[in-house]
Amino acid sequence: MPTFSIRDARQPGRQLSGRFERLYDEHRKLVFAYFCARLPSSEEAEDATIETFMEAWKSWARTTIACSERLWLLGIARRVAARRYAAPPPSASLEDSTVELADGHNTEDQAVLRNWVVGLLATLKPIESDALWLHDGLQLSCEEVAQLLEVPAGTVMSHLFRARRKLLRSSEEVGA
Amino acid sequence: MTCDPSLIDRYLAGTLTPAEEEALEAHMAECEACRARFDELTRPVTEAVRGAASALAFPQRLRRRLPIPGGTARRPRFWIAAALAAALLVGAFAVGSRYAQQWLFVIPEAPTQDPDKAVQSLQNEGFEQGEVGWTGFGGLNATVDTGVAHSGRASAKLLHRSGGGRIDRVIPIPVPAGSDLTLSAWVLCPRGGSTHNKWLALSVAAGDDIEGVVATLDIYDASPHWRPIQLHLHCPIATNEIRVEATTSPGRGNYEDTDWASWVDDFGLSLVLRGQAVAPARIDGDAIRVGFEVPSPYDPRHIEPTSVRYVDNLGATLPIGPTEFSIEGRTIWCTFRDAGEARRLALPNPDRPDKPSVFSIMARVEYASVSVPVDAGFIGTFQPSPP
Repeated sequence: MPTFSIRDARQPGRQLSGRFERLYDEHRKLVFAYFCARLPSSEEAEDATIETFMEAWKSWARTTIACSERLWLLGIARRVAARRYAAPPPSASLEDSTVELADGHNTEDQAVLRNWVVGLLATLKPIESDALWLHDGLQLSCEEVAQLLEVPAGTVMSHLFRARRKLLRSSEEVGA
Repeated sequence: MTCDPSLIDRYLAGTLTPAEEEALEAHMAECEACRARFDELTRPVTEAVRGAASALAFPQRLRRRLPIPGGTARRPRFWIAAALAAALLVGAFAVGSRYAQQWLFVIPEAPTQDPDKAVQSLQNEGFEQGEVGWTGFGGLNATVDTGVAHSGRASAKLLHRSGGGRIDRVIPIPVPAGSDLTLSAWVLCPRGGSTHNKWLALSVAAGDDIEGVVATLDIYDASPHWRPIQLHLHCPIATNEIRVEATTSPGRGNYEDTDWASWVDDFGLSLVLRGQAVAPARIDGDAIRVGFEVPSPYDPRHIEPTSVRYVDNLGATLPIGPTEFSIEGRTIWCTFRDAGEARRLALPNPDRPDKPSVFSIMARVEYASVSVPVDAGFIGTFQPSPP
């Protein structure tokens, strides 16, 4: 015999699905963009995005989201990245890709763009690249990044300062 | 520490000691003026990173694979469903010319051809009228269950016995070549296991005699909750009917007396049509004017102008519909306004310099009671639970 109540599951499911649709529409680009910078290929970024929303959907009904929705999703995304894609992304040549970004038209090429991001962040420490991508790339506040990375806001700022400095110096070396 | 711009310059040059660096970082975290100076000096980096993040386009093909649940029976949701379903097609077109564009139309009413049939096919998608419209019921393996339902009071119950339970339905609907179908449903599979055990299969096929044009989804994993599913079918050739089917399989061995069952409820079917531009897109400032021929037998007059959306080959959707909308015969003319997109279209097309490729996508809901839910890939990637 089933050990669940169909009646109980029916109406909440309807309400939840509509809310989840909105959640998905609002944050799917953010989650995908997060993985674009964290994973070695676009295909893996797509798979990880799927996995993140799968996990979100599974826990959607029984989770009380204490933080903002996007932080909650990015928290799941970080766990997905850590669990499934522990290997660091391959390093790419900053010299090779910086030129592409300078040409505005080439930013239409998503593969080039993604490679540029991965190559850029691969020159940083993982915590620095996380802070930089979340703050400067995905436009999270320092407080949100701190909450997500589970470090003080001041620490996030320090990582941001160092990440920007490294990238600035790298770009100057490339340009020199 | 007091504010000293030279320290920031030395920080960037890497000439501070580690202790000085830490002290300056702590100071900048607190001092807005110094942080502003640092931000200004590192602006090229932040702008590049921000620009890269915002330019990364979300792959529309993920729409096919991601959970996009809907789950309400209210009619307006149908158009959301159709819009989402139509958006799925963009990925397919995006592999073409980089200058290709797609438009998405949602047609809110039945086609001009045989409206009675269309209305008829909308009935009893949730088994509230018992077996009406469906075949395969009878005996013990497939029954209408009035005690279990995703919505309303009834659903179809299919036992996992030897021979399996099976219901199907033929839906009369004109499907032009190149169209895409999306079948959605809610399923309840409280028992199940692995690929060796019991599973529920849903399929949608083009007609009865078109070999190979069928999409099937096997659901192996068990869950005590109703779950939305979705599967997609591309129809390369025209047909006038769609067959929908749900079956249960017992897996290996005989299961003559088992009471294991799966339930299916609230089927939905959306049809996405495609048509090509009748003329090159005209660019005038930020205005993009395009015309599309609506495939027969669908009536351009049934397209709701406010539901028209523009989706480009990079997957970006303009947030607003057309500013102008007119119909000439079977052609729909739309004007969209977006400076960035217009600028992109104005770039030379190496493949077709005289005429950027243009496609239209039109969708209408033919048969639905729920909006687009989780799709096939989502369900398909569930890990089977232990048998």
